[in-house]
This record gives sequence, structure tokens and C-alpha cells, in this order.
Amino acid sequence: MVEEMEERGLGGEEIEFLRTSYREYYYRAASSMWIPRRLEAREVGFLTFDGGHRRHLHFSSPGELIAEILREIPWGVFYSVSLYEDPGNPEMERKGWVGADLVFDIDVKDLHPACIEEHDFYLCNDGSVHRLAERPMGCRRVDWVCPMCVDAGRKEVLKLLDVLQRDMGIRPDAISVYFSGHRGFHVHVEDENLMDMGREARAQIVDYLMLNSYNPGFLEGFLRTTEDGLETLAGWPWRIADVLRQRYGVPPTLRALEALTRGEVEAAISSAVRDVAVHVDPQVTMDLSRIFRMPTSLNEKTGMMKQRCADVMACDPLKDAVAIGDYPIKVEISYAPKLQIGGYTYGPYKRTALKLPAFVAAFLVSKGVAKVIK
Amino acid sequence: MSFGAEELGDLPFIQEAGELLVRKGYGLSMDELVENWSEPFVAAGVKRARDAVMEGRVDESLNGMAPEQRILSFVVAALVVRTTGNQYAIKRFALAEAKRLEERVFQRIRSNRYDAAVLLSAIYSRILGMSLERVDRTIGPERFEVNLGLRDYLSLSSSLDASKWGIVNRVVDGGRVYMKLEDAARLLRSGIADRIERRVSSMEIPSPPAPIAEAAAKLSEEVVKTRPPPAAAAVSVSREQYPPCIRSILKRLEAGENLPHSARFLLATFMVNIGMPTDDVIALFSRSPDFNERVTRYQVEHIAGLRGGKRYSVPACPKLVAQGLCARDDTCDDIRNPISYLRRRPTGTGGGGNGRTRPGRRRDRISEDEL
Repeated sequence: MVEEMEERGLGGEEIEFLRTSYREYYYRAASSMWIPRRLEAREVGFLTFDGGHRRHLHFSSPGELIAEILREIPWGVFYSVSLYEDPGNPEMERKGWVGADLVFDIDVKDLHPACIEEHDFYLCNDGSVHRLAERPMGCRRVDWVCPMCVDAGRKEVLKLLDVLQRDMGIRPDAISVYFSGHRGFHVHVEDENLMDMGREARAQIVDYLMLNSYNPGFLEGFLRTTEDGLETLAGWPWRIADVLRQRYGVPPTLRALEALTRGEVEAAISSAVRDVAVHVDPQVTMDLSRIFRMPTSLNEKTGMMKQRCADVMACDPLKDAVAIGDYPIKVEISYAPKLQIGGYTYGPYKRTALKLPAFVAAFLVSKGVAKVIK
Repeated sequence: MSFGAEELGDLPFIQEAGELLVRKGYGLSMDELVENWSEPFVAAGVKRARDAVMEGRVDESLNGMAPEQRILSFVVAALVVRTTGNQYAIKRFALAEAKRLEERVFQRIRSNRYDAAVLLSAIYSRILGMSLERVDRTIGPERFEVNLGLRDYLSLSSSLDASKWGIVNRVVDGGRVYMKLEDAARLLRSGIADRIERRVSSMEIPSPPAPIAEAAAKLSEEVVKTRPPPAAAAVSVSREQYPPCIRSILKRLEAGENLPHSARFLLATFMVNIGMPTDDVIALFSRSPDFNERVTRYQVEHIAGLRGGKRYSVPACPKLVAQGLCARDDTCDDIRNPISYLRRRPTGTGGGGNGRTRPGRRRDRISEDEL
């Protein structure tokens, strides 16, 4: 992490600015911080401004946790998705695992929206900027975020919610959706019935969502029916049939598909599978020793907070997740694509010095593309 | 439903079976058992223990005995197996008994599907504490007769072949997994085996009567003689040099766990590809409680390309991640396949390697076998 800070060009001025902004936010938000339920059974971890990690922290009450956040002013705050008998024990195998929330991470990068090629870039030590396709050696990749990224993530979240609710029968009130504060979404499921699932069961759930090891014959078999029969489908066979119906404009019985695809039914199904599969990061769901970013804490990659999206269709995270104040800060920017946060558009900038609201400055500084000018 | 005497004869490990014995005038004390040592159920029980542990099955001639005789023979068999004190023998016994129950349920399905559905549902709820709902639901061309909660389904299906039993190849709707009766009967096996194993392991026999001790000693001897020792690590690769995913699977195998199909496939392809002789690979699996040499040999030889001609390669890391088998730690660097782990590490040294390792990262990760 220390290397990463140096790589991002975070010197003393930048860290002091970020730390001051974070302190101001955490003092203001102290009374409304989100606290994990059963905090006393969770491990808490901090990423600190000196570049270190403090793991295996343990708090018996929300007040203690908030007090420590205010004392430390961490760069990142994380909590274990797992519950333990002895969460403060530094040895994982001695913590005494008792169960874990079911969590999903949707990273927009994995969804490959077209905007990524447009706004992500490489920044080299000599200050030169390169497009992704150029893949220059020894340069640092800078990930950007825009409303299109958010929409791609939002679409994937809706697919995930549909499967969780309709197929897996998880009650909507057990599911919470969060914008990660960078360019992803986190979906938390708190269902007592699913808490004790081990790694293998979670791997099965991921496999279901991503349709990784689906058997083509299984899906095809369900289309071996009449038009009325198609109406009775459920789960993936239903979604696949729905996509095929839209694509070919007729009820996709196997007989109809064979005629329409000239015998290429399997290819048609696998293309439909690519459409409906939900892309989550498998490791995040399966890794029971992971510590996960805490909602309402600030994301060190942007200075924005991990923010609840109560209504996935309507939430506007690039506006709502802004947490740092808007007092003016003078920065020198090496390069920044257009940035839309807090309800306004900033940039693009190239080799320029100007005053910007602190939350914009914090974003640019965190990305390592701007320096604070005293 | 409450189980009738006929059903209890096939569910000898549940409490009601013991109650049936009392109703039929059998005492359950050890002394009374020894007094009846010349009765047919005793010989049948000793044979039952031996068949289960050594052959992996229970003799069908038991089916002709009266229910209480069948239960008594189970009690004798369980006492003998428990007295061996050999956990492997207990696991083998439990698995063979679970298979026997499964076969009895299949017979019931063939003769009367309605009755079988009622019986299955009762077994799920009374023995496993799971709710197997009877339904009549047509989904496309298929008709489903039962469904089981997702969580319960996952806990029972984990050791089965994912291409058939993985939830991605099942209809999952409203938190329930839909099945035909045959699948529900097959799915019972691991859950029932677990219950029997726990039941037998928890039996306290402070001083086993002589006839039981003798039968147990004989069985023990046979087990030790035929159970192969842990396979000597083959080729020039020592176990410490295996990648973490392989070490984790070996550890689970040695703990007597019934591994999922995907884990077995990984282990077999890895060992075949590092040049372990087929017989040694088969010997590795012989420590698995559900070991069947014929089937294992067929599968391993298939993987090795001795049958069918195609030699299977080791699944790549992303696939293992998806299957929940990846136990990546900081020694893995950025390898894409477990087999590459060996190529990038100098032989004979435990760590360090070629300077690309990054010690200290991700050291808090725990592997699944610790859970």
C-alpha cells in the first residue's frame, strides 16, 4: 500500500488534505454511520493513511467503533462478512467461524461497457497519457467512472436481484444494494437461513448466477415442449426462453428453433445464456475470510462513500455518494477525463491548476492525477 | 406419517426403531443381547458389519427378515463396527447402510410412487429435519413430484457430480429445487450416512462383551490388512511442493471427507499429469469412505487416456475458482494452472523460489478445510 501511495503521487500535502477531509466527514457523520448487525461477532479492519493495514480489530459496541474511527481517521473501513466467536483473534483458524452474510460484488470493469475504453487511461512517469489499447510498459492504469459505468452496474444489479428473489426465494427486505464508492455495486443478503453456507455452497450459488457450468442439454430439454408448455417454465429455462422469444419473435419451442436456426439450437441457447448470466466476482462471494467495505465509510480510491441504493432504478450514486465538503481547494492536475460528480460536470483537464470543490479535488488526488497547491 | 414396522425395519438407526424392539419384547441391554447370542439376528448382524465395511454393501437376504430382526441385526452390526474404534470402518459402514436405505426407497418408488413420496418426505423431515414438499408441477415437458429448500439441497448435493446435481442444472424457483422422486432418493445418501456415522460414533461401549469384541477384532484385522496405506508421494515431487489447492484436497481426503466430484477430478488429473502411476492414484482415493475400486479405476484410467485415448488436462485456476476449489495463497504468484506451480518452484526448497513470490500478502486467507 505504501508503494501504491507513492505510485499515485500522494505526498505529504495530498495525504494531509485527504485526512482533513475524511476527518471532517467522519465527525459530521458519526451519529449516522451504518453499523453491521452483530458487530461484536465481526472482525473490523482499517486501511490507514500511513499505508498500513490494521486487521483483527474487535468492537463490542457501535460507540467503540465510532470512537476508534474518529481517533484513527482511516483511509478505508472494512468489516468481516463472517461472524466469529473470537473475531479479534489474529489467527483465522482460531476465530471460530459461525456463519457469514451472503455478499456479491459487481465490478463494472468485468461488464466491459464501451465507456471504459473511452475514459480509462495509462499515466506514465513522464506525464504522458495513453489509451488503454496502447498498453504502455511501466505505466499506471487509472480507472475512471461515469454515468454509463453506473448504468451498466445498475443493469447487472437488477439481473442479480431478479435471480435472488425469484429463483432463490430471498425476501426483498433481506437484500441491500450499495454503490461501492468507486465503480461497482455491492449486494448484501442477510438471511439467517443462508448464514451457515460454506464455501462450496456459495460456489454453487455463484455458478448458478454466472451459468458457468450449465449443461446445454438441460436447457434444451425444457424447450422440447409445446407453446403452452413454454408458459410453465421457471428459473433459467424461463429466462432463456424469454430471450429467444424476443430474438426470434415466436414461441421458442425446440421444433421452431431448429427451423429458425437451421439446426444451430445450441449456439442460439449459448448466446442467450451470455445475455442473461449475472456477472459477479466469484471470489468475493466465496471468500469467507474477507473483510468488506463498510457502508457509509469513504472509499480510498475516490473519497466518495459506499452509499445505499434503496431504489436501484432511481438512485444517482455519482451525486448521492459525495460525502466530502465543497470548500475550494487549489490543485494542479496532470490529466483528467470529464468527471460528472455531485450533480455537475468537471473537466476534462490537462496540465492545469485551478480551484475545485474539495470533493472533486479529493477524487482527483485519490486517483493520483492531481497535487494540492498550498 | 408415522413409520410402520415395515419401514422401521429399514430405518434401524432412528429412535422409533428402538421403541419397536421394546414393544416386541426385546430388551436393549448388552446383557440381554449376549444372552441371545445364538439367535439368527446376531450372525446376520456380524455379517452385516463385515459386508458393509469390506464390500460396501449390505446383503439383500436381510430384506426377508422380520422388521425387529432387521433392526436387531443393525444394532449388532453397529456395536461391532463401533468396537473396532476405526473411524474409516465406521464411515464405510454408514455409507453402505445409507445406500441400503436408498435401494429400499427405490424399490418402493417402483411399486408405488405415491407411497414412496410420502415415505421420502417423512424420512427427510424426521431424520434430516428438512422439508421435502410433495408437489405435482409440470415445467415444460417435465413433471416434478417434490421440491427441497435451496440451502438443504446444497448441503446434500455437495459431493455429487455437478454436471447433473449442480443447481445450475436444476429448476430452482422460489427458493426450492424441483426434483423427481428418484433424485430425492439418491440425494438422501450423504445426509443419512452422516446421521448413521454420528449415531454409531457416539455409542458408548465401556466393556464390549466377548463375542462383540471378537467379531470387532476380526473385522479390524481385515480392514487394516486391505486398506492401503496412504500412497507414497509419487515421482520426484514431494507433497510440500504441491500447490495449495491439491494439498487442501489431500488433507480433506485424509480426514475421511467424501469429496465433491470436481475435487476428485482435479486431484486425479493433477496426479496423472505429474506422472503418478495409475495404481498409486487409485490408492489415494482408497481412503475415501465411498471408495469403489472398480469405478475409481475406470475413471482414473479414463483421465489418464488409457481408455478413450484422450488424456485430460488439469483444470485451469479460473475454473477452480468457480468450483470453489482454489486455495490460492502468496506462493501461487500469477499461475494460471495448478500444474505450473511445480514448474516455477525450484525442487527441494520450501519457499523463496524464483524471486517472484510476494511473501506476506493475503496471509489471512483461510482455506475451506479449516472451516
